[in-house]
Amino acid sequence: MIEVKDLCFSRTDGDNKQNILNRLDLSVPAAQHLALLGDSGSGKTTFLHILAGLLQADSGLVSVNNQDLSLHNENELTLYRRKIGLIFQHYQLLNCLTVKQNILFQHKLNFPKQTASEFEHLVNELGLENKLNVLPDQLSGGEQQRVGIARALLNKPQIIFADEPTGNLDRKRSHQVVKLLTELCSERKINLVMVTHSNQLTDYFDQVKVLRDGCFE
Amino acid sequence: MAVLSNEIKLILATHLAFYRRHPWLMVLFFLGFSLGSALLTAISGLNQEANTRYQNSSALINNPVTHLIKPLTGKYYIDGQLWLTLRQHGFVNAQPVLRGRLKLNNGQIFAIQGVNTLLWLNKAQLKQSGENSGKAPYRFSLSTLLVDAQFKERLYTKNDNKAQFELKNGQQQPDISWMGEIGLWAITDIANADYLLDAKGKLSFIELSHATDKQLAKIEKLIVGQAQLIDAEQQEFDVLSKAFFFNLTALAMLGYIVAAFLSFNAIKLTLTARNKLLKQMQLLGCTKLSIQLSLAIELIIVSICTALLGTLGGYLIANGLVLDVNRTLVNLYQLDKSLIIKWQWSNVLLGFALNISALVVILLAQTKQVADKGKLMFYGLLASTLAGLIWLLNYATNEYQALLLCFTLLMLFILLVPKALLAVVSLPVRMTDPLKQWLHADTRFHLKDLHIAIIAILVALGSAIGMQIMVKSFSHTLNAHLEKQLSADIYLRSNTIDSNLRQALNNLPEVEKLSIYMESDGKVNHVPANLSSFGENSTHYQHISLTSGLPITADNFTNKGCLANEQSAIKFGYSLNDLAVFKQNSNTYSCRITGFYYDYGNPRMSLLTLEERQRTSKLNRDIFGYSIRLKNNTSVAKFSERLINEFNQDSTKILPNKRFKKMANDLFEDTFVVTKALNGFILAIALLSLCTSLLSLSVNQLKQLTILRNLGVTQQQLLTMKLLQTAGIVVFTAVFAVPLGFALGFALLKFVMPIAFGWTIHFSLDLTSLLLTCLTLVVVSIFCAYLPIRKLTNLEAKEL
Repeated sequence: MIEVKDLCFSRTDGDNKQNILNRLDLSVPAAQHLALLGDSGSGKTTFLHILAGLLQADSGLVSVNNQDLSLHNENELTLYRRKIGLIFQHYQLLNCLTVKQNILFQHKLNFPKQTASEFEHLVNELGLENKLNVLPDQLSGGEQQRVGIARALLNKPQIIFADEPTGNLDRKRSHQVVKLLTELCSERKINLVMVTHSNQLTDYFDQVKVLRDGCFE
Repeated sequence: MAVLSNEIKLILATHLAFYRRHPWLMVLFFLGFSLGSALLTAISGLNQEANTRYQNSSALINNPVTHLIKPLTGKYYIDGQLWLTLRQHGFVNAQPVLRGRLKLNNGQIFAIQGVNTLLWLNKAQLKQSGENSGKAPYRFSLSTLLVDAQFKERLYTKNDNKAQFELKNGQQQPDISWMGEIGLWAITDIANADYLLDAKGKLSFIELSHATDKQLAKIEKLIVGQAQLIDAEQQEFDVLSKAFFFNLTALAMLGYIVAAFLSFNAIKLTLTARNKLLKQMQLLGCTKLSIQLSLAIELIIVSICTALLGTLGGYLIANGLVLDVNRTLVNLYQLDKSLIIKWQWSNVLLGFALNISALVVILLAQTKQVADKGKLMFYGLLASTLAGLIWLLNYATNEYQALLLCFTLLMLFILLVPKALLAVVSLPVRMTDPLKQWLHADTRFHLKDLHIAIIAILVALGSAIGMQIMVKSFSHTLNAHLEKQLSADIYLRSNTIDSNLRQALNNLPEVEKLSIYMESDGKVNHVPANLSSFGENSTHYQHISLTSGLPITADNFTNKGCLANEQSAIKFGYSLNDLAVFKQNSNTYSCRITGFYYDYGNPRMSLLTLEERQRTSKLNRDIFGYSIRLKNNTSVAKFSERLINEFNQDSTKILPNKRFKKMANDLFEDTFVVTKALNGFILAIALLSLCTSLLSLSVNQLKQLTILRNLGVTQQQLLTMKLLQTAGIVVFTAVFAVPLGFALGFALLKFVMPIAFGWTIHFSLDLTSLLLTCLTLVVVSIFCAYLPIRKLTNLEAKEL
């Protein structure tokens, strides 16, 4: 569950202060899926980064699963990030590790003594069973993104933030990936917040919000 | 805590996976640190061996030798009866040693040492049972001579026949057995050594261990007038060889600095390459603390591994250099034992401490806080370096301050050269060719990435030039000095002065002047010294040059006058008219210093007096023979023949001037063998640094070069441009390295040499060899740069 009230964020470049996000309010009930649309520079990635604990807001309330992120220090934000799922446009896979090691990385961070029981089921569902021992740069863009999704889901998060996960994929593959991601999140009752440019992908989401110049339309 | 350790384990596993994917990066990283610590530990190993050479007795008892009973100064043997006297008084921890040299009929010399074989056999058996339990036992009899296996080739003539020992009294040839790690002195039973050397019961010295002060006092009473008791750790060698080891340590430190730059590059490269990885790990929830802790663990592991590798490298380097070092130490500094380099764990610790501190400094330099204060730090460092330089130029008085002066000079150039290079490449140049335009802009842009390689080359080349200037100046000065000092035409070796022969030779019409050479060893104010004379009046001293430039006259010897070498003034603090008290055993000889003379290569204090005074002084003395100056129209060869035929002199004792000078020059050449070898290592490390820099550049440049290839630039063009760029940068660096080399040469000649060795050397330059060094470095640099640049520019079409 996500609650945002009166959120403001600005960037300072020398003497110039630029407001990126202005007094945003948002509520996403548990297990719902939200698509965040907007033009380039509208502030959607910044907003997602604040929700994911990668940036801190200037003012306002940001509550994710009843945790007020504005009260967290850097270390607490890191630990918070460990519990959520993150999917990126550029995949952010650790190039020196194999696909299998990449998928298990965050799970091992969170649950060092637990075996990842869902691992096999998940890699089969995502069609990665034959790619487990290869390195990420030997995979196609779609495959790399599926590794990113597997890593996020295996972490058993209550919420997943996806930053333009289809930005590097063609139309057909984009639909496949988003369909798969929303289905998997629905099965597991996971909140999903996804930033995208594409209006055609909004059908898969419960809620759609459009950002323009730092405000919701 | 468990969570933290799990997190760190995960991060470390990821780092390990990173290294597995980039093995060359790991090799460079390890090599950088290992090479630096290898140089340092090699020198430290030699130093420690020299310091602890009495840790094990040469008579091979397990106890460390604390004291030695040696012959009185000026004598070479002690009576064997003395050892029996000591045993009769209950001193059983005294082991006799007899040393001498045997000549083979192929001209080779074998140094032999007679020891108590019963003790030796016990030790050998112990060693055998521990290490070689499966091997056959050694066969040893009283006539066996155990020789180090490394001297095997000495025993064979040119036709591969076994050479025979030339034994004076028809003694039986010894049985030779080969063994490892025996060293310079071949070992045999003391009775056999006495037989072979025809020593007639004499001993070279007696080793003592675990003697109390009370016992030492008793021993001193027992040996008075027959021998002297000396603390093993206060040998002349320790006093004399300090400057030599100081020189080596300074060079090794320089090597470490260059290697630290290489490591800096490698660390920068690994951190740049892992920057993304570290950020990704943070994104995925790894805490900053865990990442920092894992980096610290990685650094500690790297430091331990490189310290081990470095020590292994140092052990190999030291063993490679030990024969040259031994030769120099034996010839110049009276080393009485050959050094054998052993593995030392203390060197691993030294390497570890150095590596970890270098890593910490390097990592701190990479932090944002330090980078933000870069300008302030630069000007702060520049100001303090300049202030330090000015202070040291005026007030440096000891060898460490002199060395610090060299480091401030280096620092000044390290700070200024990259800025100067940047200013040079930033000069507006009008170019129309787009490729040249790109090359110019790219050089300016990437100069910062090459900073470290530039500094490494600057330091290595600058120190090589400085060293070259020093060696050249030394050799030039020494030649000029020997030219004058060894001005006689013939030297006739003899250990006695035969007054009839002297008179007869003096009366020959071909002889212009006949002098002698007589020397006594002793100490002046606890400093090892010698007192010499050449003849009965000042005319025999005209080959000596006074530092004042004045000729030597009778006045120099009036009123108990004598001459002292330059070292006495510079290193040991004596002034004109000071009274020098020369002490040998219980005898003393005092004289007033009336002048100082140049005496290159001599680490001791030296005094010159008249023959008659030395003769009547009760001092033990060695006679080296006669020096004969012939009249201009006399042939040296003919006169030598006359000496052999008419005066029955042995031809091997007659040395023409040229041969004598060559021997003196060879001796000093040996001193610089190690210096030159270390310098070569430093240059090699600098070139490796260039390779690393170019490799690290490739990470940033790939995109740029791909665009150029996209735009139609051929691979050949890219390769040529990048090679030209590297050559240009190296040439510019070399241009700055030349003044640095001059400055270092100046500091070495004007500060380090006089302070450490006590002699002044005049600046001498060999421009041709200097230019040749620079040119060689540029060519080798281009060669080194070729492979990484080729790798970088070898972009396949599919990658575009």
